Amino acid sequence: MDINLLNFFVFNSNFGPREGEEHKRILFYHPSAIDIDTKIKQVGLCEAIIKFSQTFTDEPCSNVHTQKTRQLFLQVEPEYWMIMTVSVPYSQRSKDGQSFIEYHEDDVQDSVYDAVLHQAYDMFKFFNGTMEKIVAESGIEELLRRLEHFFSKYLITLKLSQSSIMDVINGIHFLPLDKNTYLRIQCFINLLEAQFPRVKYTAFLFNDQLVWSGLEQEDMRVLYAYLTTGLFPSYNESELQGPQSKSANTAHHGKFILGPPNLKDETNVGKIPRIYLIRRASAESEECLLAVYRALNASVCLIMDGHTSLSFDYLRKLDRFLGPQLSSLATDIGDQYGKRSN
Amino acid sequence: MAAEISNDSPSDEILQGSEPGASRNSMLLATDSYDDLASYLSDTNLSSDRDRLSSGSISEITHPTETESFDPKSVISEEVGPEVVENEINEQLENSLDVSASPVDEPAALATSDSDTVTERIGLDTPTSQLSELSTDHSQPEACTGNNSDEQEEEVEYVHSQEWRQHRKHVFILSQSGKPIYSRHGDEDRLVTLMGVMQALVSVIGDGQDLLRCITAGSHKMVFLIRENLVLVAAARSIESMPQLLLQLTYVYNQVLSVLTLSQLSRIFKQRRNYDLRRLLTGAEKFFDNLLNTMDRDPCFFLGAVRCLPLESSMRDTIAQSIAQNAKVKDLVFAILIADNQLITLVRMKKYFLHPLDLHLIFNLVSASESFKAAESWTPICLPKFDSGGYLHAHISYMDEECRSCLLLLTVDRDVFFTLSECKEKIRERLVKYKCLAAIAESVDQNGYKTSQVGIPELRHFLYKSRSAAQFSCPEYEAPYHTADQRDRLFGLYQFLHHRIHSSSRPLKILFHVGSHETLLGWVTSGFELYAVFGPLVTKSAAINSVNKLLKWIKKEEDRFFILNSPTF
Repeated sequence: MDINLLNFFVFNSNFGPREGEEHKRILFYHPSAIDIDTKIKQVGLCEAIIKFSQTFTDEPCSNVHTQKTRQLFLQVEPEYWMIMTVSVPYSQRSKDGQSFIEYHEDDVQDSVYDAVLHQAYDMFKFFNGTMEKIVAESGIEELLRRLEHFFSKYLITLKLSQSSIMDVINGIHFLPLDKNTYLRIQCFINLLEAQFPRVKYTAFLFNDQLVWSGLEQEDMRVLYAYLTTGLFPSYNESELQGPQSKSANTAHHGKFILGPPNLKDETNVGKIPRIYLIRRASAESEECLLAVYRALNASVCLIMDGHTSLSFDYLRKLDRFLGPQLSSLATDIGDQYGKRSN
Repeated sequence: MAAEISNDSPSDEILQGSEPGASRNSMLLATDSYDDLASYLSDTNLSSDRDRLSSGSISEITHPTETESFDPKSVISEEVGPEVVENEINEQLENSLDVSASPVDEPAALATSDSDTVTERIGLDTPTSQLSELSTDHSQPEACTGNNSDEQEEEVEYVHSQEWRQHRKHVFILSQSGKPIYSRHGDEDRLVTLMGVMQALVSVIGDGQDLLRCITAGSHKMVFLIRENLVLVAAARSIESMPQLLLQLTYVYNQVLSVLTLSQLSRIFKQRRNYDLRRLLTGAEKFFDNLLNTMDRDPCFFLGAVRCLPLESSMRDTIAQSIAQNAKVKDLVFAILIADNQLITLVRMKKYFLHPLDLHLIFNLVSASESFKAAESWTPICLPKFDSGGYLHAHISYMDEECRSCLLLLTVDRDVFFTLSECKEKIRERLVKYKCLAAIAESVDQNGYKTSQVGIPELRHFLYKSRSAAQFSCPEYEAPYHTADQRDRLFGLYQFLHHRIHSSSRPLKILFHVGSHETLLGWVTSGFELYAVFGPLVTKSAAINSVNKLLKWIKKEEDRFFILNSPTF
């Protein structure tokens, strides 16, 4: 029997402090098909456990071991708790003629699933900002909507039985390049940022490996996880089924992965998500827009100022600039890469 | 810090049977307590037979003679039953144990209605509401008298006091209906709400066909053990692992059994779920306190072995003979001579063996009681691993004025106090005649042996356990482990080594751990377990060489450190 996700929920006790209002505390619950009483009971149990652990220590409760499950707790923001429960794998054994079930508790490592839970929150925060901010600016309803929208898709992508120490390390795979190529890429990015001042940060990847990033490491890790486990795999798969978007002209091979799918169609700006970066100087996060442009195997992430929306024209200009240069860079890196692996 | 783990044994393979302390006929039952614990935890169908080992049961020894636990007449009507048993037991306990200050007076006991109502409500209410009550506001009055809400507020303050929270390890015992029974730090009747919370957590999770094991918060672990109507909880911020804390709770549970017996415990709770077990445990708190304090210092518990007082084997044989010849009394099962929490000799009835856990409880009984020093005593004691269903009766006396060596004669017969008293006198005369008492006194004063006697300079300390004999040996603590802090730190290191090697899913044979202050080598084979501490710059090969030399030295001295034969009546 594998390690499965049993439930995943987010709650805040302050939202329904009185009896009869407990359902208001639940901000998100998966699986959603369960009846509300069970959900309330689960949340109530977690609240009781948290309160109980506070009797002995001020450190927040981190996990609960039961014979059949492992429950991980994370206090993501003051008073906001995110809980994930996974099942412990078991097998049938027989001893002295009697068969009994043996639970392999050591197969579920707390640190691994703790990291998985952290990543889930980081990803949510990356695309939505902190929960406190959402509630302050747009109200609780908006928070509920965003949580539902985000996690119902995110949880499906979790492959818990394959989680391992790699999740704990959460590292980035870099591409080693020779000096010249690296400098060319640097120049390219500098030129890009100079010509398009709206682009605040860039990241340059080749396949799944990072060449250059202008972001803070924490932000880059989340972006990297998103690109390598979410965006690129789904894009590559859809490409195999037939090219989704056409390049504007045949001279270069570049196109937007996150952005307008067809540069001849002005009505469709495509999907350009808003992201929230951690800004060290202040507690506020920085709101930006993320577009991703790809040519052959090279991808450029454009993180642009989010105060005003992007016009289609601007994106077309970007395409004209990026297309040829990125295609030729991609070919060169590809050659290098090929030579290196020989 | 680096740890090298390998599954190959070092060059010199020691054959089982020839390791130091190998004993063909051991007097102790050499089961691994971790195995027992693991099999208990994985087996969800508990039958009470599990607690009885095949070594023997009292009814076998006594034929159909009645002891009160098997008396069918005591299981009568609802109301009268427990009181009858209780009075009998109370009588016995009062005779032999120190009765602490508050006598149980019936009117006050019946009027424990206040705390009864709170915990009863907590025990019987539906889980959701009870949890929400408990989780929102502890001091919210719950339609009880004003008196009660004051108590609860007081309790909240008490529990939140810095002093109480600072303790490194809390241990609680409560009944499955939430009634407090024992708390290591603090008064258990000021912890009623906290115990109610613990019981609620256990029962809500139990409703889901699951068992609560452990709650972790940062460096704190709260471990739960549920056995036979009792819930035992340890809340600790030490480095002990969850299985080790569970093992300690199992010992505490066995200590409860030792006072009450398993059959009585089950019967009481079957008849009255809300019974206040403290009534039967008055005077027993010191046993729990002493046991818990000893478990923080003594490796015998996690090793599952017993330490023997170093004595020349000829002297030990003389002592055993003196006892065996003068204690030929029918139904005398064990005669045990101990000093300074170490075993001198154990003489037993042919068919029966003693489990190290039972011996540990006996050591605990003797070291926690002052009353035995004053005069000969006669007390009932249950040995949970031998037979958890009934009592043995122990004649306990000290052999000398300075109260160093203590003789225990364990029998199933309730009425032989005077016969045993005579035996004890004869034994004592013999011991004096052959200068045994002097030898024992000398050995106790010597305080063991020093690591330097082994002759390996880099070796700082070690623990050696012979698995077949279920006995272990270790030298005294010298510099740099001569202060209490350092000793505690070293104890933590041994626990870490032991836990890592015996980990149920990834067990090891050898573990070499390099720390910032010392290096440690743990080596486990089917015949023995060895944990050795070296200076910080010692390499793995040097350590293995030293350990081979150490084993040869222990083999030379094995007659002094271990009891290899098993004298019988």
